[in-house]
Amino acid sequence: MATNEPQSKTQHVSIWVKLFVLFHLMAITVWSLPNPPSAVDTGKVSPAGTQWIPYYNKKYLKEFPPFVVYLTVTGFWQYWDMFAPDPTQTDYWAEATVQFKDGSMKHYQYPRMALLGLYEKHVKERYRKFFERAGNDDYNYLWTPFALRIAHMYDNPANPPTRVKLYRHWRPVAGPGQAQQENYDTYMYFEYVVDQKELEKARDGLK
Amino acid sequence: MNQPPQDKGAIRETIDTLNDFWFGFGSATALGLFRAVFGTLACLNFLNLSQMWESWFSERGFVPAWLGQRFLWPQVNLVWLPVEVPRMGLLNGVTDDRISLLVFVITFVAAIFTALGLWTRVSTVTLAVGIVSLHHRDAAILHGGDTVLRVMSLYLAIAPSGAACSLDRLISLWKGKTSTAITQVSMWPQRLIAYNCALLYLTTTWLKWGGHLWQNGTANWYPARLQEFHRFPVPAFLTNTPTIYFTTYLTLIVEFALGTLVFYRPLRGWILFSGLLLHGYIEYSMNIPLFSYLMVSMYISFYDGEEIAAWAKRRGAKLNRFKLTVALPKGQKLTQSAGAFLATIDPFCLVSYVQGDSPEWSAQNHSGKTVPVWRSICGRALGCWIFGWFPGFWSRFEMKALEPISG
Repeated sequence: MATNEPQSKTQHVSIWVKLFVLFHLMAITVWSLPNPPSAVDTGKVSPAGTQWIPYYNKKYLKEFPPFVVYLTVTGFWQYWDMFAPDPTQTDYWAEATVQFKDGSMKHYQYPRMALLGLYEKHVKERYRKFFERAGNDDYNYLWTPFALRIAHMYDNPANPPTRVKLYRHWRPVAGPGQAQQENYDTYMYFEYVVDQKELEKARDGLK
Repeated sequence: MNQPPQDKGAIRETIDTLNDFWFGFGSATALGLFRAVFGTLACLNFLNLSQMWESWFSERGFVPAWLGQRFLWPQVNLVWLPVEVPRMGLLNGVTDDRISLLVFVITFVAAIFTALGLWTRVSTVTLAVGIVSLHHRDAAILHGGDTVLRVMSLYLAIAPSGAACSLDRLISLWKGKTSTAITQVSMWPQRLIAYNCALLYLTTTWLKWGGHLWQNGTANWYPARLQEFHRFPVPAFLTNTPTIYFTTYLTLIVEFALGTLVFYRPLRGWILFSGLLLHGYIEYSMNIPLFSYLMVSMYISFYDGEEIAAWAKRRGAKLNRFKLTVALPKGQKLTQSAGAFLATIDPFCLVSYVQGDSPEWSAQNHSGKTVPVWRSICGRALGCWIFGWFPGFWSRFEMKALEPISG
């Protein structure tokens, strides 16, 4: 086999490249290390054992501006929390009702993976991911655009939607040896009075 | 103060070893193979997203531009300067859906070209900028696999990722513009991919170890019962006690090994095989599109290009029934560039070329039966699967591949 062994294995790598690699390694390592538990982070509890590492990492390194700027600007930002610190233990899904100007109502089933076929759930998995956030109280600023999108979907200039109600359904998975709850709990978590100007803007945009 | 000379030597040796590991030169094959696999996965990702483009990237969608900006704090404050630095993104603040669609389409095309290794430098840079722009436009729908996609696309953009397993290399070989020797590149981009992969597993294991369910051994109980994630049925004994305790702790052990011991060569193969089983199970049982494929694609970076090429040759040597002997027209031989081209597209070395007695090309399979020449080459040479089936390619190749035997 033809090979092409260089005379010196490192002769062509510039010192600037090496410094960049070193900086990059430090940045992604510092950024990826787990955050300390919230009790430790807020000072309610003193760090114990290995918690000292994430504690000091967050306090002194993670927000070191060159790291923050480099990672967030370039897109190298990363944090690996798949199934961590604990996997999700609750099933969520969403639906909505749309009320129109004439008083009539329509039901909207937001894509629910459990009801979809193999191909469709593969394609639409992003809906589940989005609702993980859009159904969460911590992200309540997502609710209005969520409801507005549903209003857009049912828009009819002759009989426009006037209200959208968002419903959250959830069921915790029972642990080993515990009885599984059969039905899902339901809660209307947001009611949106449709901003007709927003609907008109979208209609104009489509012309 | 006065260190013994042998200690100084040991330190120097360690630095040299690290220097060689990170910045030494080696075959570009692993990087090229990773690029081809990754590019294909990126294509599938965009094919998937294209069916819901309006929902996620348009102003009428669930995440209009202003919301995308708000979700992912768009600017970074420089503590010591009164300025803000924007995130990289071609779609920052863009409310014209036509521009968003154009960026999406260009990124999709760049993914196809990246997979093929065509105009690789431009393709990989375009792909990276496109993926970062789309992720910064709408981060509300991203999962761990998407982060892998973004980070790896950036590594490929700064790496010489078209130096092997690419149409670029084949074209250069055909035109005689590059050496037939295996391209040697500095290993640091490939090492970064491997390090990032290990870092991913190590930090997620660390985070999990702080989780109550991972500690008490029941973590794997829950995902198996989430209806919204369900894909294919799994035998009940695998998701019930006591197996669940075993699989939960085994997951932690495998992930920890993938983050640490994977760099120890005697264990590397077994650890990566365990990772394949882990992600194979996730892929089978849970609906997280492309996540497992993207994760295991990074495993390629733990192998040197020379190892991959040698493995392919070893496998090829065992595939006797797929061997093909192609006889060249009488009095003709392959030009140097054609020989290099044909050798490059056949990593398993299943096709051999010999002088023939007839005026035409001919081919015989392992049992001596005459078979169609180009169709048989295409079926065996992995590298020509992407272009060898185009009508007219081989007739043009025939015309230019031969030269008379001198003397």
